[in-house]
Amino acid sequence: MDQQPVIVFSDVTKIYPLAAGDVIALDHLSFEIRRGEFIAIMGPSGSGKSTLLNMIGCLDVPTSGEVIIDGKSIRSMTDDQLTELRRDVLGFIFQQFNLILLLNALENVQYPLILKTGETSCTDRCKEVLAAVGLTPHLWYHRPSQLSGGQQQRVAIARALVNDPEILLCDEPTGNLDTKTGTAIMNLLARLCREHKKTIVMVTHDPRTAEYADRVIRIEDGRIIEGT
Amino acid sequence: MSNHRLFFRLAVRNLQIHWLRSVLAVIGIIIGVVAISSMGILGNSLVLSVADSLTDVGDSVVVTPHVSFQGMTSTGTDKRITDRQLEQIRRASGNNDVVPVYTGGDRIRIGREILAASIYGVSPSDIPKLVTLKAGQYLRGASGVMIGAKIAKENNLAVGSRMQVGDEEAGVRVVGILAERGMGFDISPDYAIIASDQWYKDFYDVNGYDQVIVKVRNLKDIDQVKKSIEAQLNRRETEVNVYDTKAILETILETFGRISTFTMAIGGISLIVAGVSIFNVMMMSVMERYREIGILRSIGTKRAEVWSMFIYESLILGVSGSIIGGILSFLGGYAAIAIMLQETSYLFAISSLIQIPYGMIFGIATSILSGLYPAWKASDLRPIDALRHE
Repeated sequence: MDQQPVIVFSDVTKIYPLAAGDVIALDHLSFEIRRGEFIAIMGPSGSGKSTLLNMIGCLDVPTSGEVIIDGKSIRSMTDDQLTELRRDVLGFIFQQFNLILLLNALENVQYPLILKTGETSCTDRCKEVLAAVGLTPHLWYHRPSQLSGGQQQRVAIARALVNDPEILLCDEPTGNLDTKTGTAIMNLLARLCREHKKTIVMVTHDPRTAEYADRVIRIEDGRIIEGT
Repeated sequence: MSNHRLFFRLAVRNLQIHWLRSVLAVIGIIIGVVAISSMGILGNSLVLSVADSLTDVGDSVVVTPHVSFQGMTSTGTDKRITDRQLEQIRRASGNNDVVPVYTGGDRIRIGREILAASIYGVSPSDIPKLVTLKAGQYLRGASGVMIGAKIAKENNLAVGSRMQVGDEEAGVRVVGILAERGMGFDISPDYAIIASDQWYKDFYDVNGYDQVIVKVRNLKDIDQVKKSIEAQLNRRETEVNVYDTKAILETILETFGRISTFTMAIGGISLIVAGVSIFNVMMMSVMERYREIGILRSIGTKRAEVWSMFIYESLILGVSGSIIGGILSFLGGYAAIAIMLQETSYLFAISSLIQIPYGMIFGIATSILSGLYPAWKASDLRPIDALRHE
């Protein structure tokens, strides 16, 4: 594991102003995640896990404090720069898979690669990644609605990996899968971390899933109570 | 460039999935383009048709006696242009041809048929300056008449035929048939009889002319000739009215042009309705795809790229509707002018055909305009809000 931090949170606060009163989702959070680390973020519902993951994923910006991703502070970045960071440095794996329903499995994987390179003839790399995550070739041209949950999650992982991102963000990656498929997906993520030195940040409720992580960060009421 | 192909492909797929509403939006654009182009073709053909029937009269200055209310009788006016006034007109007109004309109307009898016709009295030497001969010969003396092309055709008259004018039993012989000329502001000979000035003067016992036509050789001089005549004759009081046929022609064509624009505007309303339909389709598409937009944004799609994807959708609807509409406009325009004008050759005039691309451009522009707000709304969504949308 590299000692260099790839994610740095310094005194980060996120407040959502609501009519009924401000909601403090993250309360003066500070921590670092090093390159190649596998982190599980755990906590009860409403504790701020998803807000934290969204902030690492550049989908949200802090109200105060500093978030540094891959050496860049996200507060001062434009929308386009944040989008490029998501495209090039981050890979998302969602509980709901979130595949593009208009595209087949191969095209879903191709999509971020085309965005990055502008090349439409990049199918070799996509097939290679699909094969690496264990999706058999006869399923590559199937639409998401024709695939099982496990198969869809494999496509989502392939899509997240195709641009060779530094960081993989996983939001309950096994939440919609049966135990056997969930275990297979977790083994795949662990292998990616171990063999390909990917930094993985995973939000989960499931203690068995969290066992795959090197470190567990526990949050309650927007504060870290364990694992800084 | 490739990214644009990707978003174009996504736009096509989305339209294919929602094919029914896409087809309905395209039909809206087709109707709009057909309405605007067909109305444009019809209006332009109307202008061309009027211009055709009024040609050859744009080079004249027509002088008629000025009639005040006091000078009016129950049957018209007794005022005429005198020889002194004619001489003044000749002087004011320089070396342009000046043709004094007697104008009236009478009953004529052809065999057992009785009908009404205009009758002009013109000096035989001046007749070729006003009309063109089609058959027979020009008048040489006081006897005989020339007749218009339509009156000849509709009554089976030929050179040598005879007809009675008014109550006169002796009748006159047709010596020449005129080429068709159309309606004019000076004379309209197609349904008329042209006799010699002497015959007319003797037959109707009149003194003075009904109008004087000045054929201006150089069109640039028309204004000057008109002003010069007015200066000569209307110095102290208004003796004559002076009409510039070019200006009248321009006013008429301008009026028909406005009618044409108005009819196109009516067609434009249907295009606005089509635009509203596309706006509706696009807004539905955006609302249904909130989550998908969130996914696209979260995996690295920029705002401008989301915007372009939705603009492509409206562009595809607009271009396909406009192309089909353009083709149907040709047929619609053909049908419209065939029914309204009974003459289809005007369809092939450049000024008519150009209405089709005009309509298509309006169709495409309407689609793009209708797609702008939905595309902006889609691109402006915060990815985190869009992802939360169920």
